[in-house]
Amino acid sequence: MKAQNRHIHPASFRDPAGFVFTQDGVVYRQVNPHYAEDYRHLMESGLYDELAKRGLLIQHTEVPPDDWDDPQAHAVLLPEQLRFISYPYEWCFSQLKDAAIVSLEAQTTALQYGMILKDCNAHNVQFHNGKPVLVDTLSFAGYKPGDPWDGYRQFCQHFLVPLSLMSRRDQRLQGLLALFPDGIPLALGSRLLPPSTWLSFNFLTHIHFHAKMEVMAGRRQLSNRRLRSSLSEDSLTALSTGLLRLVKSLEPRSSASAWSGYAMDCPYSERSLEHKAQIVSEAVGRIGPHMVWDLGANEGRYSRIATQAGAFAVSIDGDPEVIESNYRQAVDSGDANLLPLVCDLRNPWPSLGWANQERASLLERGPADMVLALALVHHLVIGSNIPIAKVAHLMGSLCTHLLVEFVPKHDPKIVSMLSNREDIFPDYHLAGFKAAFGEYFSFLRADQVVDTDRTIFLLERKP
Amino acid sequence: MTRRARFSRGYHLLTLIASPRRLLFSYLDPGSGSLLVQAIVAFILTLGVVTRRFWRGLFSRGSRDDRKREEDESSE
Repeated sequence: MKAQNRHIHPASFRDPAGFVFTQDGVVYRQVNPHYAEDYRHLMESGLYDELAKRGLLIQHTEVPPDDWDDPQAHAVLLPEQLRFISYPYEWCFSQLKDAAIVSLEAQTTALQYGMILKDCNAHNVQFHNGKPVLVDTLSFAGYKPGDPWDGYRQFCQHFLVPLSLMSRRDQRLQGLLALFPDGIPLALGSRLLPPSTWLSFNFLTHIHFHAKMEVMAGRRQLSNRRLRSSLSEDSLTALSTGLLRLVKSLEPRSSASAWSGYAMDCPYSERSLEHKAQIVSEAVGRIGPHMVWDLGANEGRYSRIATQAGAFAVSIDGDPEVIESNYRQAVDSGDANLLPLVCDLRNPWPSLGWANQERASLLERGPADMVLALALVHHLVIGSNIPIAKVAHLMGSLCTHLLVEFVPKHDPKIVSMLSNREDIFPDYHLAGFKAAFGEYFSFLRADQVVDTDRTIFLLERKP
Repeated sequence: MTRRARFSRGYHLLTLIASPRRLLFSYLDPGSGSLLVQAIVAFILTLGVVTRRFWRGLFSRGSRDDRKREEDESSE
């Protein structure tokens, strides 16, 4: 493993303890000498084994020293490889809540082994086998009696404030995490939360009072040196367990969004739904994809067909409420190959962070082996005025195989969509659809869904 | 647990006194306001724990005394 052949991850530069790099498509984590003592403690105290056993920390093996040649490295770790990287602003309420719980449980466990979670960044959590897991093995530092928890503010900004806003205001506020790389500022969270939260001890102390104290400390230029008071281990445990209780008590605010219940309202009979599921199942079985993106997935009915066929499915929808329902179903059924994510396809998540390189855009994380675009194209073309040629172009950049549904203009759904507006879509017809998608794809198969005039096409990307 | 041990345990839990000590900073700025809030919240939560333990200890001792008295009476 030559140091010059590795590609250091563009987001892995803040912590001097080590960094993440890829080599030949495999992700590794280097441990620097700076972290050697803490790493030894993590591995020898039994903390790593405990965290790994409970699924709180990603498991790794150590690469033998003979296999790497960087003299600056104390160790090189080969962690379990993740199927798909996702970011906190793409998660629904329960995904962020589960990630917060994992972080707090790791913190309370670490304290029992003489260590502490030195940072509490939501980006340190990823979904692996359907569950959130800490992926930053170097986040644990030796705990010295009396030390405060340096990650407390980060926990509040990355987890508590967004969860509180999604619980007390609106689930769509998870998107604010994309604007603030180090979590939603406490002062902003305090201003956005409803006045009733001032009456709650937890919201009052961890958010409102916390925000005021930040401002006061900044104005008076208080030094941390004078404030690093002696906190007993029991006090820190009480703080962490108190936060854990608070996070567990939060529930998402529900508000019957436009897409929740959409599956119930759709103009499909039971027979046509079953036929559609059969078409999807046959197409997935024929292609045998490893990675499927289900765009406009709603509650993930067809994503599940893909995972049952052995694929890993990223189930994407712009509505956090349907992704919430999708995720809860995945957790209840123990589906380890399903990752529901919030993303509006009309405005997909861009590249973010320093030099726009820390967080990859949605499209940069492709292409997928197969995309499902079922009952989606007419919403993009007629609902959002996106020309069908542009839709076909985007699909062509996302996948090698595409399963796409064409809904004709006389379908009750489109009649309803056009009932209050001018029809400015002369090119939206089957011939126009075939011409647009034929530019990028070859048509492998077409199936008309029984009891409807809708057709599902299986396409293959042209070389 | 003796009264002395209970007192020292309580004192330990309530030790939130700012004192000059070894300073070790992490790579992350925890924020001065956050350190203050953390100390205050931890103090309040710890106070709750100590109070609960005190009351639990009081009642369990009370019930132990009651049981002992009942046993003495029955043996007489």
